Amino acid sequence: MIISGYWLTLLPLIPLVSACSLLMFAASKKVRMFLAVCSTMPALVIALLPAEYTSVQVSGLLLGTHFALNDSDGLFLLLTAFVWLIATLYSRQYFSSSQRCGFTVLFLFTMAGNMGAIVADDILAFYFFFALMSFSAYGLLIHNRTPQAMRAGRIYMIFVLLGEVMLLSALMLAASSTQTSDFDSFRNALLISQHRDLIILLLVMGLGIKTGLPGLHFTLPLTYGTAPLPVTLVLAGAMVNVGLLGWLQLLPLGQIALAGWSTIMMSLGICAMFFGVVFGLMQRENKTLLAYSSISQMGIATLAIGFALAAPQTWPGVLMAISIFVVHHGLAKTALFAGLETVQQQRNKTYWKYLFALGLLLPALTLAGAPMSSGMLAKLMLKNEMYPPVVFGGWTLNDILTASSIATTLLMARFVYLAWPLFSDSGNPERQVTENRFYWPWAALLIASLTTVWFIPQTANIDVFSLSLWWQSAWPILCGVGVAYIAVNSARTWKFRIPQIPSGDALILIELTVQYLGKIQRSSVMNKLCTSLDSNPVQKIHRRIVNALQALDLIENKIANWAIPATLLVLFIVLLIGVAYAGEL
Amino acid sequence: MSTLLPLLLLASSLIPGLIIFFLNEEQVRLRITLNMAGAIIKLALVLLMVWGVYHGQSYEARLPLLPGLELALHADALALLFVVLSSVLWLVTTVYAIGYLEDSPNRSRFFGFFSLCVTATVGVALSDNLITFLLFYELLTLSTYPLIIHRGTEVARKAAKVYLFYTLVGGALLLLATVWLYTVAGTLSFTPKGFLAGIDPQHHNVLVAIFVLLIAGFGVKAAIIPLHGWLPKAMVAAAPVSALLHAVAVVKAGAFGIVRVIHEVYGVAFASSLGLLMPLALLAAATIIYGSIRALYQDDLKRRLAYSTISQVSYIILGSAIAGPVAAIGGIVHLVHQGLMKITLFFCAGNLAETLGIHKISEMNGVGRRMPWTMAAFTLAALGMIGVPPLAGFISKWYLGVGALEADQGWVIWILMGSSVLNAAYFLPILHAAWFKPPSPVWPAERHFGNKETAWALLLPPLITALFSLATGLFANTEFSPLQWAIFISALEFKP
Repeated sequence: MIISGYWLTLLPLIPLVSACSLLMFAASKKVRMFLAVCSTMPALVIALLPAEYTSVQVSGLLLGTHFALNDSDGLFLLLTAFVWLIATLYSRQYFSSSQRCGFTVLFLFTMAGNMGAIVADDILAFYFFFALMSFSAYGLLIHNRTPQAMRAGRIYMIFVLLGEVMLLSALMLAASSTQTSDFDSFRNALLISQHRDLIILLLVMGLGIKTGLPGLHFTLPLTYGTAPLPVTLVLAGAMVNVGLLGWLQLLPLGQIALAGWSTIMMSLGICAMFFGVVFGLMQRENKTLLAYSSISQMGIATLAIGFALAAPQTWPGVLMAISIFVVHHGLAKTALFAGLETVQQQRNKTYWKYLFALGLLLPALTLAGAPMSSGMLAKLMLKNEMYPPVVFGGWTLNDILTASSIATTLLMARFVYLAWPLFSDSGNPERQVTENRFYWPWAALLIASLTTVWFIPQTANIDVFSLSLWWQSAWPILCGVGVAYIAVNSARTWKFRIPQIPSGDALILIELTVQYLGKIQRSSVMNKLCTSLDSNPVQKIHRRIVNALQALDLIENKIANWAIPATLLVLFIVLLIGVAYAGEL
Repeated sequence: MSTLLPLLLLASSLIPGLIIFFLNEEQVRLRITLNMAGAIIKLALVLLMVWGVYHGQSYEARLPLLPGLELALHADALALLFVVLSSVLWLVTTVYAIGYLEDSPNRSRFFGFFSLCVTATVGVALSDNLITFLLFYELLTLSTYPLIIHRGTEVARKAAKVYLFYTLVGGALLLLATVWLYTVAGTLSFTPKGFLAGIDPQHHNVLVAIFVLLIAGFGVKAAIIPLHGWLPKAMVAAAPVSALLHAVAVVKAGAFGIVRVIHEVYGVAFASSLGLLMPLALLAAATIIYGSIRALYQDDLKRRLAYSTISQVSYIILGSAIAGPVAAIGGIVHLVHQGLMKITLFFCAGNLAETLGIHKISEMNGVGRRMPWTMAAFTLAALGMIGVPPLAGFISKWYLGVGALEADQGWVIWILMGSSVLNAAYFLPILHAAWFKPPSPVWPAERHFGNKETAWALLLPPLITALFSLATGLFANTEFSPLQWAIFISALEFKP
C-alpha cells in the first residue's frame, strides 16, 4: 500500500495545533489530556500501518521542506510515539489547571518537535523541529523549580545553544555548495565540500550533545535526575534518539569509507560504553545511574556508526541493527524509569511487591542482554552486521560488545542494589508515599519491552531458541553478577564504599576546582590584601570584565555626546576647505 | 496615474500631518480619523503600486530642481520593499501611538511630526537619485528631533540634542560627498550595478574618499560603531517613537542608504574592485559583536533593545558588503525582518512600561503570567532575533551565512554564530524571568484594563507584527514573501 506523504505532516501539525489552541482557549484537564493523547495518535497509526509513504515536498514552508519516512525512521517513530503516549498518561497530574497551560503547551511543542524531526527529510525542517524540541523541553525540565532542576535547566540550555550553533554552522557549510536542501543533496554536498572534515566534526559534536557523547554528556545525568517522570521518559526514550537519528540522516553513511572518522567515532563509542558504566556505578541516585547507563548504551550505537563509516557496504544491515537496538534500549530504559517511580510511591506491604521487584529486574536484565530478551537480539544483530570483524586495540568488536554486556550487568546490579531498600519498610522513612495505583502505563512499557523480541526474529533470521545463543548471551551476565556479588561481599568485609561522583561528573570537577582555588585564596596571606574583593576567583574575573564593560559605558557617555560627531565635523570642515582649495587650483 | 501615485503616496501622510498641526488638543476624534485615514490610504496606495509594478507598470515622478539635477521619485524593486515595510509598520505604529499617548499633552504636535517623519521615510525609499535621497533624509532628521524631545524632560532634551548633532554632521558629510560625486560623475541617478564603473581610473582615489564619506554619513543613522552613540540615548523617547527610530524610519534609512550606495551608486562589483567592501564588512562585523556585548550588560529593557538594534542593523550592511548574490539577499531581507521583530520588541517594552510600570529587566519576573499575550509576542520576536527557525531572523541568518561561504568569506559564519550565542545570552534570561520565575506581588505602577491584560490598541500591534515575523519566516518560500522580493532585487544587481 502506498500512501501520500502529506499524511506525515500531520505528525508535527496536530500537536502544534493542539498547543496553539490551548494557548488561545481555556481548557479543562480532561480536554488537555484528550488533546495530548490525540496528538500521539497519528504517529502511532502511521508507524503501525504496513504502508509505504511517498516523499513529499511542501515548498511553501521555510525554504522548501521535504517529508519522508523510510524503514528505519519507522522504527524510531514507533518507539517515539509509544513513549510519548505513555508519558502523556503519566502527565495527567501535571496537566492540572493550577499550573495554567504552560506544562501542557510546552509538552505538546516538544512532542511536535520530536515527531517532526523524525519525518523531516531536509536539513531546514530537521533543524527547525530539532530546535523546537530542544527549546521547548527547557520549560518541562525545570517544571519542579527545585534549585537542582534550575541548575540542570541552565546547563541544559547552554549545551542546547552550543549544539544548535554547531549544527547550524555544519548545515550552512554544506548547503553553500548545493541548491536543494533535502538530505540526499546535503550528504552529496558534504562529500565534495572543501570543509568536509569540519562539517563532520560539527555534526558529531552538535548532535553528540543530545546523544551524550563523552565530554558533551553533562546534560543527560543532570536532567534525567531532576525532571518530572513524564519528561524523563521522553528524554530517555525518545528525545535522546533524535541526536542519533540526525547522525544517521546527515553523516555520509553507506556512501564512502572515511577511515579516520570511523576510528574517532568508534573510540568515542567505546569510551562512552565504559566510562558511562564506571561513572554510573559511582552514583547514589538511581535516576542518575540510569542516565549514565543511557550514555553507555548510546555509546554502542555510536560504535556501530563508527564501524559503518569505514565499511559503507555494511550500512543497510548496520542501520537496521541500530534501529532495533534503539527500540530495545528506549523501551527497557523507560520501563526502568517508570518502574522506579511507581515503586517509590508504594507502601509495599502487599504481595504485589514481589511482582514490582520482578518488573524492575526484567528490564534491567533486558538491558544487560539476557537470553530471550530484546537486548540479546539487538546485540546479536549488531555483532552479525558488523562484519568483517575489526580489531580495535587488540580486541575485536565482538569482544568489546561482550565486555560491555558484563559492564552493563554490573551497572544493573548496582541499580537493583540501590533500589532494594525501596522494597523493605525500613527503607527511607522520608519517602513520599502517595499510594499511587496508576500501574498500567508501566505495565504497558514492560510488556512492550519484553515482547519486542518476538517481533524482531522474522526480520533478523535468528533462532531465538538456540542453546548456543542462550549460553553466548548468558555467560557475560553470570560473569557480571558474580563480580557484583564478590564486590558487595568484599565491600562489606573490608568496609569499603564506592566513591561517589555527583551527577554531571567533570562539570562538577570544574566547579570543585573553582571552589578549591577559592579556598586556597581565602587561606592565603593575599587574602588580607584583597579583602575588599570577592574571594571567588571566577567572580573576580567576572567582575573585572563587568568593570571593563562599565568603563565602556563611561567612555561611550563621554565621547558619545560630542567627541565623535565633533570629530566628524572637523573632518567635514577640513574636507570642505580642501575641496574649495582644490577647486581654486 | 504613473506620475501621480508616488506623489499621492507622499501626500497621504504629509497632508494629514499638516492639518493635525493646526488641530486643538481636544479634537481627538478628528485627529484619530486623520491619522488612521492617512495610514490606511497610504497602505492601499502602496498595495496598488505593488500590484501595478507586478504587472509591468512603472511609477515615476520628476521635478526639476537645479539645472541638470531633478527631484525624482521612482518605484523600483528596492524602493517598494522599503515602502511596503514602512507603510505597514506605520499603520500599526499609528494604532499603537494613539493607544499609548492617550491623555498625554501636546498630541497634535506629536502626531504632526509623526506624519512628517513617515512622509520623509517614503521619500527616502522612493528617491531615484542621491540628491532627492539626501533631501528627504534631512527632512527625516528634522522631523524626528521633535519626537525625541517630545516629553520635554531633561534627559529627553539631552538625548535629542545629541541626536541632532550626530545626524546634522552626518548629513553635512553626505551633502559634501554628494556634491563631490556629482562633480566627478556628472550624474546621481541610482542605477542597478552602479553608474561609476566606467569612470576614468585616475578618479578612483577620489571615489574611495567619497565612499568613506558616504558611509560615514549614512553610518550615523545606521548606528555603525563608533557612530552609534546617539541611539542608546534616544531610547528615552516614548515607545512609538522608539519603534519609529529602530524599525520603521531612522535606522532603516541609514542602512537603506548604504545598500543604495553599494548597489546602485558604486555597484557591488566595482566597489569590491576598489577594495571598499572588505573593510566595511569588518566594520559591520565589529558592530554586530560590540552591540551584542553591550546589550548583555544593560538592565534597562529599552537600552538593551537599543544595543540589540545596533547589532542587528549591521546584518543588513554586512549582507551588502560581503559582495555575493546570496548574502545580498540576506542583507536586504533583514531590512524587513529586523523591522518586524524589533518593532514587536519595542511595542512590548512599551506595554510593560505603560501597564505595569516596568522599565528594567530585573522587574520582569513572572510578567508572563500577568501579560501573557504581550510576552508571547515578545518571545516570538526575541527568538527570531536569536535566529531560531522558523522565525524571520533565521531566514536572514541562513542567507547571510550561506552567502558568505559562497563568496569565500567563511569568517562571517563565526561572527553570525557568535552573535546568535550573544543574542541568546541577552534574550533568553529575559524570557526565563518572564515565564518561569514567580511573579512579584506588586508591580511598580500597575494600571488595570478590566479583564484584559492591557488596552487593545497597545496589544494588537505587537501581536500583528509578531505574527508577521513568524509568517515571513515560516512561509518564506511563497510567492509574495519578503524573501522572494529580496531574491528578485539581488538578481537585478548580480545577473550577468
